[in-house]
Amino acid sequence: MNYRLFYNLIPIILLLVNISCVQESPIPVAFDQELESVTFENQLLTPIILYRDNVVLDTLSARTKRKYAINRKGFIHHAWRILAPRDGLGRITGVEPYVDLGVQYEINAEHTISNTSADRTLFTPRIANLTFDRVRLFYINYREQDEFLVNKVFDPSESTSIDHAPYYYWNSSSNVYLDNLDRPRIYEFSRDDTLFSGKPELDLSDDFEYQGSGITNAIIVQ
Amino acid sequence: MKHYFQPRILLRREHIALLFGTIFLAITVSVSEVFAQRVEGGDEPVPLYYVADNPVISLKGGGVYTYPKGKFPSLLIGETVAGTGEIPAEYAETGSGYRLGVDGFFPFGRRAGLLVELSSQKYEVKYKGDSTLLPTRMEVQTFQFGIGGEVNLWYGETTYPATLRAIFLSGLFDFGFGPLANRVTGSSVVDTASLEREEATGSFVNNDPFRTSVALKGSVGVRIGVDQHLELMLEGGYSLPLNPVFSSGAIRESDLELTHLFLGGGLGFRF
Repeated sequence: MNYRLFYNLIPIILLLVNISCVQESPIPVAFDQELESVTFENQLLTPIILYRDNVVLDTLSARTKRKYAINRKGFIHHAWRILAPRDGLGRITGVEPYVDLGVQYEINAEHTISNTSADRTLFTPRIANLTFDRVRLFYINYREQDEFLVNKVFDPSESTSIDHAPYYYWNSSSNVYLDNLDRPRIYEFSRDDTLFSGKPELDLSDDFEYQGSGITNAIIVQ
Repeated sequence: MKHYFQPRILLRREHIALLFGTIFLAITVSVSEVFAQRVEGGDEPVPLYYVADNPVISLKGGGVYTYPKGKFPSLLIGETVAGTGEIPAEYAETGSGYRLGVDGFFPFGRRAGLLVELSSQKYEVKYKGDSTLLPTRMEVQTFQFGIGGEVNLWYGETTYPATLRAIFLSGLFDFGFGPLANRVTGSSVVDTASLEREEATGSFVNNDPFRTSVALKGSVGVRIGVDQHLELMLEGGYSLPLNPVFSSGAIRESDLELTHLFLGGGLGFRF
């Protein structure tokens, strides 16, 4: 008997037994009882639209928590979507992912919506324009995955709004590009470049105040 | 004629090869002497068939017989107008499934050791029907992780192949993660004008309704040698539940618990 074969069989058997052997039905099942409420806590720095059974339930402001009554039986679905800010032409300036929370089973469900609650991690750049010029945020993830063309102008001394901030997808090569509208200058902030302190120029903030918001450390344009 | 100093070559390649060859031969002879234990007064080496305190890794499988304790909650299956109704505990029946996986036994000595199990379990919760209710069935597959101990009630010191090596008793905490999949078949009233019940099949669409199950599993079994390393294992076990099936956040006052009887065996490799 070749014992090497025995060792090789172990991971194969483990893999085989973990393949689901119960055929699931596409028809949903729920408990025959009245559901009481659902609570949403929005940790993002942007309002989100809440849906119940594909109909808008409410718009929840940035960094707020609210409880909604249900008081009925059945297959109750909830979902949420980011409401991105618009530019002067009415175009969206950030991504608006739609997240389906599925059938609710808990009698009193609670959902915390953070930058990791969507299918991919989100971030919002925290930009402070300390120049005397107008600076435009014009690309996020330039020439990388999830490239997003923005057209958001920051006036002198203006900073990113923390009540209605645009969100983008965070990846290993994320970057932020800005240009100066009053003189020929481009500013690039990237996860690959480091500051003198050894930390990346573009990184998510670990500030407790903004926990779960996905805001970056301050990007100071000067 | 001038004489110049010419250094002598002390070690040629041939000499180095001879030196290493001699060292290799010396090591080989000494090591073989260590491993070839000889019977007193005889010339044949004693074959080492079995060492009781060596670890064993086994592939294990068998049948799982599940008996529900408590009433089954009323369910809505699909877009029906009525639920299945609560099914009383007296209607419970034994369902059958199976469990497949790997376990590792790591002895501390010859008597006892640590036991770790990784497996996949498919179980079936069954309730019989009556004149107004069709039978109800729920199939669930979970990933099981167990950790505990095993005690050899009896063990043979150096038994030859194909004989009994140990009779053991084991106990472990058995955690059921998941489920990986589930399916419920019950009956519901589809038309308010009719009281006729119709079969309906569906699934919970996520794991929210289920708890991570915790059970105390006790087993008794035997290990039988096949050759120096391989051994057969036969085992019977009983799982006593420590928590209900459904989460208290998802359903109020559900007392449904499951007991599992495991009968199976496996093939182990003793190091």
